[in-house]
Amino acid sequence: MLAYLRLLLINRLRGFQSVNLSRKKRGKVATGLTYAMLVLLAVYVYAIVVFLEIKLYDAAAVLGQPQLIIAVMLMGMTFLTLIYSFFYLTSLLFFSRDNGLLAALPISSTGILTSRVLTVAGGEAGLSLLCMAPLIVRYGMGQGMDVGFYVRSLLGIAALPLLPITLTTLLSFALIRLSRLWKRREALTIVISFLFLAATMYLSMSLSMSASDQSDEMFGSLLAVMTGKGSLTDIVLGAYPPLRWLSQALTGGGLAAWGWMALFVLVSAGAIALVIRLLGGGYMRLALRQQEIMRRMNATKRAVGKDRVRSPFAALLRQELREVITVPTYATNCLTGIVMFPLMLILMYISFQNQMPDENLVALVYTLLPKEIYLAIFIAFCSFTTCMNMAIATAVSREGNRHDMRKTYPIAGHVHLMAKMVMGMIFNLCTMTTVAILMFVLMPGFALVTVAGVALSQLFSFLWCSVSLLIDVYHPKLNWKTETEAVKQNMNALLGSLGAMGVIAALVGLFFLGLYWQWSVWGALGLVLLVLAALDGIMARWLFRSGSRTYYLR
Amino acid sequence: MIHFEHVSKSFGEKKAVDDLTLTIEDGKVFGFIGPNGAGKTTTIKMLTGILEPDSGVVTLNGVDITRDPIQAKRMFGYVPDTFDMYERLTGMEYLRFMGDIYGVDARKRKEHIDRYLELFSLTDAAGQQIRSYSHGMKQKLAITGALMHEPSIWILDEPMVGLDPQSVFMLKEEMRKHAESGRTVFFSTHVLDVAERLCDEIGIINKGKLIANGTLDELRHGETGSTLEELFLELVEKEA
Repeated sequence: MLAYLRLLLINRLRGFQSVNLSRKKRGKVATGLTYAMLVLLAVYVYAIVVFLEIKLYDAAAVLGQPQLIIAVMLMGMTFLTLIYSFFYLTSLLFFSRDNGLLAALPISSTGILTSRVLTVAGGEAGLSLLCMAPLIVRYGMGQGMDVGFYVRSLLGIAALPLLPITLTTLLSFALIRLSRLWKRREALTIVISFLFLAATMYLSMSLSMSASDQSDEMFGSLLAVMTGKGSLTDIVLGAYPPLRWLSQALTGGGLAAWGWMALFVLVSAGAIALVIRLLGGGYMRLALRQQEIMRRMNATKRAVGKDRVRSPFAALLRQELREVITVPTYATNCLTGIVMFPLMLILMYISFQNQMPDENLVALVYTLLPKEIYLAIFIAFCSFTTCMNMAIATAVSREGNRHDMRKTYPIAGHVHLMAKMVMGMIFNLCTMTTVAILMFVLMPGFALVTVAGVALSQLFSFLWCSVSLLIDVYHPKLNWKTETEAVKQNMNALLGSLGAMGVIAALVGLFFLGLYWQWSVWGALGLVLLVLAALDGIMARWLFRSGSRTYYLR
Repeated sequence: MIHFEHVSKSFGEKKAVDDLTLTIEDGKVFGFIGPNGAGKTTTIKMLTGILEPDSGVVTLNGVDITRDPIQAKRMFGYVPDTFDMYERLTGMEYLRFMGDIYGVDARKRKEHIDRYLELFSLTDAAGQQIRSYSHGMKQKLAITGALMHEPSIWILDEPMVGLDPQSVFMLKEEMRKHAESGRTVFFSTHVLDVAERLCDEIGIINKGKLIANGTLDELRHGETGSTLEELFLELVEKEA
């Protein structure tokens, strides 16, 4: 088992080397510049995280409740782990291509399950540590904590993903067992995954809204959370005792803190060990049976249908769209934005109505916002939805071993890239259209502005699709064995998302700069759109000229 | 016609192909043989536009693959050594996709698909997803797709691997017919018996260098071996 665990860990770590910059034809200066840009981007994004955490801590400290920030961060990381590990675990446990090979090796079923679960837990713990480190340091310095605090923090964060992963492991098994009852197994996997996501989001929003039910204004709600006068912390910690133990272990002192820590670690490790013990024995049998059913279904004959001649572009575009929609791993990772943002709006609306049945949200927005401000916010929101588009950020990587074959097609590189761009923009447009339809329903008076918002945010959609695609064209991760590796463990997707958020922040900054210069809202918005259009032109030229050459002769 | 003019390709310090000059005339079946890691696949990748040579020129029917890749790529059909295609498509969907890519009209593609599916006994499996196919079935599908647009040059990387004896026979017949109609077949293989019986000309590559090239009789000149196998071993050993 240890050998397999080691192999999985090495494999996971190597995944981060996908950004291979040492191309043979690339000069030393160009390689150095690219490295420098990537490092700058990473530092920039991390600096935002550090800044936000320090500011939040300072605000909480001023109000005399610094430990609340620790609790809120722990809650956030738990939710993140819950969402991400569910998708990852399901595909790793039941859709891995090496299941057949592993079954023939002298490794116990429990050993394989343990290794896989621990690998996911390790990754999630690393991410939690990265996110929480600035806050832990700031808190430790601010409160004059001893070395024991830092040791407990390390221990606690390492054990933090274990309980959510225990839950997602159980859910993955339940999903696979349930879905054997239905023929369209892959479709069911996708649907249930999204339902799970919706449930998690609803729970999270209900908790957040509960915290703000004593305040009338948004700022007041935030303040209530920060000061602890709102009930967020109590509700979270009350509903989920292990988090209370961890929070007390981190913010407390002396022997009691170590006691809470021991309790948290023991319960977390015990829960995951119990689940592995219960499910481990039958795990490989279930995974193999699941693959066998898939094999039988694949061999089922389908209607051949009528032949329709398409242009090469249309054929490629159809293939790109089809692949993302029909492969469960791709669908659950790449379509998250389309499902998540509209869901977020609906759930926010429901939560708001539940918490404040007497308030009319629509009327409130009508009175608060002039149309041009609504337009600016709506464009920013629509643009933000593009950040989740992993379909475009991994469009070349997903070709994997097929990439070489595609290069032999008698089609210009820009046609390949155009098909990918249009695919990415279609997914973005789907997200924005769904959001827009919801806005039509909720705020009919803003219908025209909403349409204008969707149309204008295509400028950002184009910009970000071309930037994400360029990153993937120059540094694709083509050597992957599982589809999860192609999308989830792909640095390009992360770079794309983080970079998009950075650019949106810069554009919002530009908008406020316009206002600072005493321009009207329309003037400031025009400036942003003008800059966007110019950037679109530059990126299109770069992508379809040098990018496309790189694509078919590398 | 295929022509390599002083073509070289290195990966870091390693010279995968070293100053390769070779011409394959129309109407020939050309067998490209060599030990593992000799540079066969790198040569084929440069010939198909997957890799760009560090130096030298590769032309197909007089068209430089680096300068005019689209036109050059229309001239050949390529079957890779490992078939890794859109596994969720059915066989028929894949063939139609290839027809769209190469701009083959509906009537021609139907004729071609019917003929090759029949030839390779794949008609029944055409409606199944590719991921349910055996290696041999995938290979047959790859061949059918690659030849969809009736290219004048066939480039086949280890085409017989995984095929059943009947399909190997059929494929060899097709390769011969293609060459006899004045067009070109370039294929790599490790099966020396096949190369000996099928090829008009043979090229032997070792450590990136073309160490012998010509008809079997020309290769025999000055060597003691009589079969291709003996000649191959003799030449490779001498080079080592």
